[in-house]
Amino acid sequence: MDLLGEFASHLAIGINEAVSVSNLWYCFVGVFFGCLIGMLPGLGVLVGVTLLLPITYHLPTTGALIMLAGVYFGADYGGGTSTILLGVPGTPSTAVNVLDGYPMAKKGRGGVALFMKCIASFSGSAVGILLLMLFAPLLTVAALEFGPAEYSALMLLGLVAASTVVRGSPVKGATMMVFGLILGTVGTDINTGVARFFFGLESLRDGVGLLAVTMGIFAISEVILNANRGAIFPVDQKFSLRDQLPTREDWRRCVGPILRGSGLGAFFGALPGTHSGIATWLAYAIEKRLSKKPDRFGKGAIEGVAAPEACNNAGVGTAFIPTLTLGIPGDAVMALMLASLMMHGIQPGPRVIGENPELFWGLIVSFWIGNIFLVILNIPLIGFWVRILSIPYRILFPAIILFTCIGVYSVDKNPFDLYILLLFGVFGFFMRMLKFEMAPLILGLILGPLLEENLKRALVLSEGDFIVFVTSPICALALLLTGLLLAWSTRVYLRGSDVAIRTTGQTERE
Amino acid sequence: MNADRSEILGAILTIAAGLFVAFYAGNRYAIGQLENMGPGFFPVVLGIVLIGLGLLLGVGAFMRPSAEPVFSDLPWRAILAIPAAVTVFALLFKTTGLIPGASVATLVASLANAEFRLLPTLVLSLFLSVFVWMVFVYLLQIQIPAFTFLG
Repeated sequence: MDLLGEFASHLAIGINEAVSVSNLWYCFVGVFFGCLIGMLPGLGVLVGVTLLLPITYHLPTTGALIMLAGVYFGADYGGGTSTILLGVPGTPSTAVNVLDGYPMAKKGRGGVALFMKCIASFSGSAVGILLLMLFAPLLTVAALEFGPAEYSALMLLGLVAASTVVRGSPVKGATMMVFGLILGTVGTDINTGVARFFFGLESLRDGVGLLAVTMGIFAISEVILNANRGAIFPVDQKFSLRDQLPTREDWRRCVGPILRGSGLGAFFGALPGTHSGIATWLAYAIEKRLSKKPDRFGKGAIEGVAAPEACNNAGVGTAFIPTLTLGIPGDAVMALMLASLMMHGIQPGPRVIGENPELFWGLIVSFWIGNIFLVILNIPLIGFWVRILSIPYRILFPAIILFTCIGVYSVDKNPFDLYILLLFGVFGFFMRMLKFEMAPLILGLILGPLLEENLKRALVLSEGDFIVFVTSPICALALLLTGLLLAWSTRVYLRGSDVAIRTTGQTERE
Repeated sequence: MNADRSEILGAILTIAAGLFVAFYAGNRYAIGQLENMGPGFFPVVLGIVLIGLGLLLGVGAFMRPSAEPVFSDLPWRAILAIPAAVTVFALLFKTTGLIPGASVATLVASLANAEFRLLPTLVLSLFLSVFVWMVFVYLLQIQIPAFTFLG
């Protein structure tokens, strides 16, 4: 009973924090913006979080994370909508819906597909958040025992996993990750006071400017790539509430897929590197294999929409587990969340939950609230979103540029940051032309200083002896997995095949 | 040569970056020993890793058939217009204020799109600059003067 009482008091703290006018508003803005970004093809979660990052800098810590998390959840809801209605993936993680959601739309059942997607998404989110509530506090207790050696090994594993399990070449992902680590060394080294790589420019003494680099690489390069994209018009749909309701048959068909999808997504979400969509393809493939009539898939099977959507959203919740308990992000978006924490002066790690209970539990409650917002936004208001989808890109992209520029400037009031923004915007663009994924760079940039510090500390404590990395079981396991990943991705690379293709046998559409 | 040219370019750039980092850091910053890592240790190691990855990329490039050249279909208007817009903003907004800076930047940025038409874009630039002012200066209270000549 004591445990229940403790749980209740945590929830009370959380509700108190989350149900304030400002936090509710931040939550709403986050999910709305996330939905919007997810819906517009070509912009993804990463761009969405990136664009709001400078704004959240000026908000209190809890509000900032609530907003960013809202974007994360919202983007998965919104991405599914555009994928189903347009046949073009709004975000990479919702790309699977093209296979069955779009055919449903073409048959006039788009409203039903969207409705079921919403329900599935909410269920998935619920599972993810529940697991987060259960496991995060438990994991924190274990994590407090970790020393710098364990942290280094885990961080390395997370970095390598997140950089190699990407679309495209894993070696290129690793390259960008290392480059990010190098960028992280720019600036004044804390321990020795030596300013590294600053080339005589005073502004570089504090580092290269995470925000400017991130926004340059994602937002600006994205705009350069897509400035000439026109608007895409959605399939004509009827969207009255009655048209949207699924039949009893539909409901019956979806229970299993939603549960299985949630479980799968929750598992993969906690692991580094897989939120880019591999889990959703797996969920789809599993449903197809388990179905008694597999040839229904590809022509409008509602299970083909329900399972991946549940999977998607469950992953969002559990992705927060390693981030908030260990301080190890699973992908670039989580890394940016960590960066937001750091910008507000909170050092990520197992102490975060213990020292900031209002933050953690407030976040949890706001996740629930946010998902409810999203269901309300996506079911009755679907007509509004459909109209949004026809906004021509040429109105949007100058807005993105302005938001980016002013946002970057607003953090440090240093015009130099704008030139960094520019430099990395062009750099990001050319790297993407050369088919290098940029997300690992951000991971490296954010985690670089932490990794270096932990490595130093571990080696100082062990007096230069590397054996410390092998004697601890967690360390050894992490390093073993890292080595396996590296070996596997080298093999995959030299064979010339794409990770996603090999895993699922499906090709991803861009 | 049976190799993918853009892959080769990527490999060369990576190796070059790795060499630069390793030599620059190695020459200027103390490396120290394992149990007392100096500021140069981490960068040098990373530089070497980068060189290794670049070599790996090079090997992989030779094992692939030639693909279509990457640089044939570049969106030149966008590549010139967007950076120009950012530069214009950076130069203007301190001297003329947020609204003029944002408006001109929007105009320049819109040149990236082949369907550019002057009048609608002017309207858009005014609207966007006011919108952006409202979000950042009014709502978020970030001090950027809208027009510098209004004191």
